[in-house]
Amino acid sequence: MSTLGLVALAGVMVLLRQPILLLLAALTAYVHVVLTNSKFEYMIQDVWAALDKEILLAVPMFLLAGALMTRGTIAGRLIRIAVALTAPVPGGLGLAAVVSCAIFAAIAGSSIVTMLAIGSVMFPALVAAGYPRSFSIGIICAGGTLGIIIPPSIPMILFGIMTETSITRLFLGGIGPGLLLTGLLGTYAVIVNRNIPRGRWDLREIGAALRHGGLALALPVLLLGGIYSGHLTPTESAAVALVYALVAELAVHRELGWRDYYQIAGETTVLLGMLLPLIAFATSLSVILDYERVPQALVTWVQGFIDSRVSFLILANVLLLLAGCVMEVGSAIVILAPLLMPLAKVYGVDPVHFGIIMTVNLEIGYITPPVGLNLFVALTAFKAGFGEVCKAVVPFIALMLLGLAIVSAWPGLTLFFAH
Amino acid sequence: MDPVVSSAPAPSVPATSFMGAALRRLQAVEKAIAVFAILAAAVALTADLIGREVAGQGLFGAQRAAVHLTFVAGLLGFAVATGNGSHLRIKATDALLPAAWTPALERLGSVCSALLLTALAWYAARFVLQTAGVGERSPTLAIPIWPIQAVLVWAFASAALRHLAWAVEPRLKPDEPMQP
Repeated sequence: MSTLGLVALAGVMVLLRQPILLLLAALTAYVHVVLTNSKFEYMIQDVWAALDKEILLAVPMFLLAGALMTRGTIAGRLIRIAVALTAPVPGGLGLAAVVSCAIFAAIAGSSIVTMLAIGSVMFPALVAAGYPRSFSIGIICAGGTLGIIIPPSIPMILFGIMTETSITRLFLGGIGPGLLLTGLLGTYAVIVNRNIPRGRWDLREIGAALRHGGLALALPVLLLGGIYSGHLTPTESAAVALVYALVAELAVHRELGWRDYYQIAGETTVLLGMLLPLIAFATSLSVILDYERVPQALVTWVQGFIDSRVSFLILANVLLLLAGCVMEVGSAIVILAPLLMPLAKVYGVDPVHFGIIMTVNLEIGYITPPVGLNLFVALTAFKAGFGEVCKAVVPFIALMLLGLAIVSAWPGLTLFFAH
Repeated sequence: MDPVVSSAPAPSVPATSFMGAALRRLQAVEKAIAVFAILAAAVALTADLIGREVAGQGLFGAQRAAVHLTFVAGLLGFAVATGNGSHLRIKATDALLPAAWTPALERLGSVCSALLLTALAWYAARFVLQTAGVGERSPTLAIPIWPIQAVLVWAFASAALRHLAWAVEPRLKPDEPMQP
């Protein structure tokens, strides 16, 4: 009866158009007060404890750096380098779009930031160069998703916080799968556009592009090098990214005014205001469920009908793909990661490998209807119809599912760098 | 969690009524404090990092100060996001009920949000009083922790106030930014 009440509460709140955050808060409060022997006060204590942690500091710094780089000119400079270097390749501009997304993803930690920063320049360029409109929409939507698999990645930070997994190892684990997905998307771009006239390498343009964008290109090397060498923690790498982006914009590029900086900081606080309470309430839910030994009961229940690692991975992938279709990435991670992690451990899946599998699944969710966020951004950014966008991403969903299968079946791809 | 929701131009609160003007001022003040807090957190962290790399010694208490400042920025950001209508919600079920019910549902939804947020603010206030009562201090910085925790009360109460205002005067409710 009490559990039915939980479902009814969720249903009524959704019909009353409540924000997901308040829905989570209400359900967490219900679990504390009605379903278990806890109190409302304990939930507030959990909220404070969840937000009083040093590990969270990487989130605002990466958000701030990402917002700064999206508003600044770093994306345009990276694109110029990618276009100059891929000119003689068949379908070179398509490949340049993927490569630009991958490099930008190694600076910013989110999918939409990557998609908007690269797409706003590359989409008109692709269409003007004769690439099919459908391909151009699809490649930008799919390329944008690289933002969360190539480190740094805000969803990986959330996964690390919620499951107490090393964020540094998660970042390193994302390198192999990120390169794989970049390769798959790039290869597809070359194959389907092989008949589009190609250009030639222009050494003067390559030199100018490198001079123009050298600072931007050095940032991913600095960040990944710092993390990989163990010299920088995720929080420190976030601070470095922020300072670097700030110095590049203030001292070298000089294209932003003080009003822009205020706006950027304001946008970041709004994002933080959406993310931190979500983490806090999800942590409280996770704490009380753990106290009531719900994850352990779930493990016992699942072990009743799943007897192998492979079966578990298939089931987890299906569940996460479905979750990605209907849930936003941040919410999905903070709610599902603590529940699924004990299962993954029981079936012998490395926590870092599982974190990357989860990230790739939810990455695909960015381009799957009905709530794929990149699809909705494409509607506005590229002035396309919903049907057109959904059709455009179909081949890319297939490619990314292939990538997911490889990532799931081959732990070495993830763990090579992470170990 | 992605910035698209907030990178869309923030819908401004109509200022044609006293309540609208008050909400707009509240929004501006909270945003300014949140911006100051996040920039101060960034400066503290950066100074700590530079200190360690250059002088071999970090800035004492910088990480802890950054944690508290991030807390303030995030909680005030929560109130500002509420004011912008930036919080994500599930829209797929909107079509399940007749469109004619929308105004009433939105008003009822605002009341529901206001009640929940008021409860959160109430229990947060009790928690803060409890902490103040036992004299709990921030580790490293050794300052009383309750003024920082009090931002929880402020943020929930401020968001509750907004929802209440929208229930009374629905035209003050901002348009929902782009989201599924």
